[in-house]
Amino acid sequence: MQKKEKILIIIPAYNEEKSILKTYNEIIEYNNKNKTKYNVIVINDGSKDNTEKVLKENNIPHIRLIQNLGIGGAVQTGYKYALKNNYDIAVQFDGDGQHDVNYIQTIIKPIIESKADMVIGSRFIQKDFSDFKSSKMRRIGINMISRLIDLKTGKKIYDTTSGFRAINKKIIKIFASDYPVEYPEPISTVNVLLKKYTVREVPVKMKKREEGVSSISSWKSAYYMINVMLSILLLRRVK
Amino acid sequence: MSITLRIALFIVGLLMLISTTTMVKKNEIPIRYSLWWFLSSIVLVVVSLFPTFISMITSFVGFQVSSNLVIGIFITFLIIITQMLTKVVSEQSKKITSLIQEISMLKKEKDDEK
Repeated sequence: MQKKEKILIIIPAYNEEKSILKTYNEIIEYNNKNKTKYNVIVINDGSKDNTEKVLKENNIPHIRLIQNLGIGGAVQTGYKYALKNNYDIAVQFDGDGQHDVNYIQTIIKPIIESKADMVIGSRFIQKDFSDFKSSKMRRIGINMISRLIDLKTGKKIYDTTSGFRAINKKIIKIFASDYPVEYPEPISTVNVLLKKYTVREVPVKMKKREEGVSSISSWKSAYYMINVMLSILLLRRVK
Repeated sequence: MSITLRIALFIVGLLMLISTTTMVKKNEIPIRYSLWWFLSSIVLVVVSLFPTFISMITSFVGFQVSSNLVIGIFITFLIIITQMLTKVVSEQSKKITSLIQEISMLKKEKDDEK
């Protein structure tokens, strides 16, 4: 590492009062132990519980959205913040304890080495690597999206819905001005691929979520699938 | 078409025409959104005033009775209007999102200065 990259960890949080402090402390501890300087910004997406109180009392850097925007709008706020404050790398990280701090260096490594513009922390890329168990239906769904992305862009992305990802400055700029509000993870990946940027997947371990529920609830998954697949099909190829 | 239906269509068309004009005059809706409403009301008035002309079109297009043609035209207009509204709503929600983001970020900056 020649120059020190400015790294921002964006944590979107909606009703995460129970886990947000733990997640934040883990990052700070990691920073102290490894002499890293990951900055954190929590985006409180109009939480209805005491998330805001926890954030304030513990002096956690955060932006409180004055209205709930959903995951896409929340994460984009983080990217806008990253752009404004001239960060080199932005990492999206879940506040519910699902993601492991130790893998942040793994997913930013290809970006630091200029081998990729966007890196996705993947649960599926190596078999049995991750403790993460998802339901069979969910796996089938993710697999279908993955095939469709392959068809559209010619690039195989295995974990299309992973919310653990890192992007470089070029992509920060793009996402700050234009980020999909609906189904942001797969759609934004396809957008980046269609713009001919390099996307790389690296294996990460994910923990079972400790608090909170997935943003994709089971009875909505069919609806989710149809929408995601339709929007991937309709996305425009750009130069 | 019976004379009662013609009178009814004429009245409805006239009321729509008046309400659309008033809304545009009062600046409640911009002119571009009123276009399809004007067209709809004009269709109603024309249908009620010139039934023979309408029954010619009816048999040409293949409808059985004129009233079906009127309904057909109206459903088409309504679809166009609804789609236009969907577009407008989507554009607005994009703008609102970016407003919320900017205001929230400004608020944070202000809090940081304290």
